[in-house]
Amino acid sequence: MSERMNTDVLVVGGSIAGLATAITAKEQDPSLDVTVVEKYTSGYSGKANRGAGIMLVLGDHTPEEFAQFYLKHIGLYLNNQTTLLKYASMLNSGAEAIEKWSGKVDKDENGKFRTLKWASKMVGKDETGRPIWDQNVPYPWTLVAIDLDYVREVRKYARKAGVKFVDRVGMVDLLTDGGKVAGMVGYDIDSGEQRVFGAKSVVLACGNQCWRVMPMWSAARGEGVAAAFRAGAKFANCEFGSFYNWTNLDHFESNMGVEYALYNDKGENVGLPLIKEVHPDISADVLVEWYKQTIAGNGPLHYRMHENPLMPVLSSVLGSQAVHNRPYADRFWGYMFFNAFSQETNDHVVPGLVGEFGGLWVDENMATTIPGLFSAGDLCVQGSRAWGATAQPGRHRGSGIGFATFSGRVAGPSAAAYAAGAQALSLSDEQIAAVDKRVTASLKSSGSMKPLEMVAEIQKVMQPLGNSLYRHEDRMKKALARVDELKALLPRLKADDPHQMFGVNECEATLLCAEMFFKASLERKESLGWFLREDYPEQSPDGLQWITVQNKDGEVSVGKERVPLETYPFRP
Amino acid sequence: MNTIIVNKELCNGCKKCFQACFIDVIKWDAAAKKPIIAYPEECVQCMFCELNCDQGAIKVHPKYESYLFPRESLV
Repeated sequence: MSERMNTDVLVVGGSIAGLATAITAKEQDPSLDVTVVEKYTSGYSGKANRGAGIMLVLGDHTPEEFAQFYLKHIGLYLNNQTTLLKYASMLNSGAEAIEKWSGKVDKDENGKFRTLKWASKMVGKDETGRPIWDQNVPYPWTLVAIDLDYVREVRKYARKAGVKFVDRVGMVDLLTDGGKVAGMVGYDIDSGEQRVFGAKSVVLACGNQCWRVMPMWSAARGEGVAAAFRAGAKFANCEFGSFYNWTNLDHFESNMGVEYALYNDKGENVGLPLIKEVHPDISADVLVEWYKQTIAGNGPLHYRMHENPLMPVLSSVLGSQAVHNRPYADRFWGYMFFNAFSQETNDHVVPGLVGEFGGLWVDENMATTIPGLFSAGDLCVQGSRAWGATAQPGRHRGSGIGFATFSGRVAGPSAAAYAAGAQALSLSDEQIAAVDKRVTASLKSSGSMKPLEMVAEIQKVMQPLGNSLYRHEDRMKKALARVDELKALLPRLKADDPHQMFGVNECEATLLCAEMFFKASLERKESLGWFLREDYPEQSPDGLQWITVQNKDGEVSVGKERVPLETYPFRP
Repeated sequence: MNTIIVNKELCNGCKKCFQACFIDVIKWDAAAKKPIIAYPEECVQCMFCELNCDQGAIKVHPKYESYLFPRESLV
């Protein structure tokens, strides 16, 4: 008999999206039990404390200015404009919320958040040696900087506010009753013991799928995607889940601004001509140019870092006290980033698949299509459709923490209101037994394949730019066939302990995500924003449509929904 | 694979390195009150264990050439 626990609001995932959810759920209704369950240790887990620590805010710009720019240059009107405007209107208060929850948001001598716009130009230094910036850039947003120990501090705040925590328990499946969410099944990652949770509402804030290719994103293994899919939830914009950063094979850390200074082996700058007048962040067109140049035999491609106009901002903001006072972040970037870059033996640059594949469909209240099930953070970025035709991080840096905080502050009150009006549902012993059979099968397997061997095989399908960014029907069908072959190998995976049992469950989730990704990609027969196809280079004349994905009798079923532009304030 | 070394003299058993690991490379030996570097082959050199150790008792030496990355599957 497994250990069972009941709570009113169950939050799966203890990084910043989950913590924002839990705190605001508890604030909304202090009489509710709010519990965060985290596979590793809340406060340290996730991606939100391992990135730049910059967060998007609007500063003096209006949500309407932001939305209009965003729709025209980034989302290309494939957006849910209601959610986009709500996101924009809650960004400034999101930074204030993080500060209230004990995160250290850097401030100037007047006690105001110190802001610096992306792509600002350094025009000199003041008498104390601090850079002076020309912030006259065409982007209607700015950035604040948060010290990277903030997630740990926010966890402490949440605990004081009455939120309960269960660490070292990973969710593997949701439980439902009559089509509504009733709880979830997890396992202790150390002992392997089953832990069952009953809840009136559940919020999935456990991250997305990043294919386990690039280091910082390694923890995002798609278990939340898979659990929501198996429970019957709808997804959208899955075909946009293939973000790439530029990297170097000597260290696998990310470079930003490469497109300004990308040279082929003949010495021609092949990036700059493709950057449009307004260039908010990494360009999919330049990534495709890397592919074309490589295929044409003009590689390797070189990155002349000293020509990158973003370097003053990057080197001043990250790992330096020149702009922001962030001692923990400074040490983090010093330990990790500069050590990595010191390993470079050449200036060769390649695309590294980040992914950020999520796509769990949510409305503007962060409700999924399953009653009682909500979501926050990376898992539902694309499914919220707030960002439209782009990959996470949405071609606007600082958006990861921005969206996580926004969506958590929406999902928390939504889930609390739902729980306050709901009855506890019954937990099905039959469902629990079926989950246990699926998850523990690898411990009893007679096979000998290890999870890491499967990860390596999946990487070979997902990393190629010709499969996952510059797509073609022939290549995608081959990739799907390989995914099917790998799925057939799943029963041969052998786990010797709970860690590897989770590893096998992650592989199963990753292959499901790959299938969702390629099937949704095949359905979009056009090129639009981040989504590019060699065989369909133009935008479809059929109008803007969301590609949806859902579980139909255990199969990945793909559909289309027209974007209801007539109900939105802004039109192309 | 990466090398992760724990100085058992300096380690005071605070558990922070174990908590800081975001992909379960480090397990915890409750009896000895020391970390176990259980899955070094999965370490992605995020350096959080080293960064969060107040005692300076844990060091990560990345070996980037063995990092699991599909080097031959780029295009």
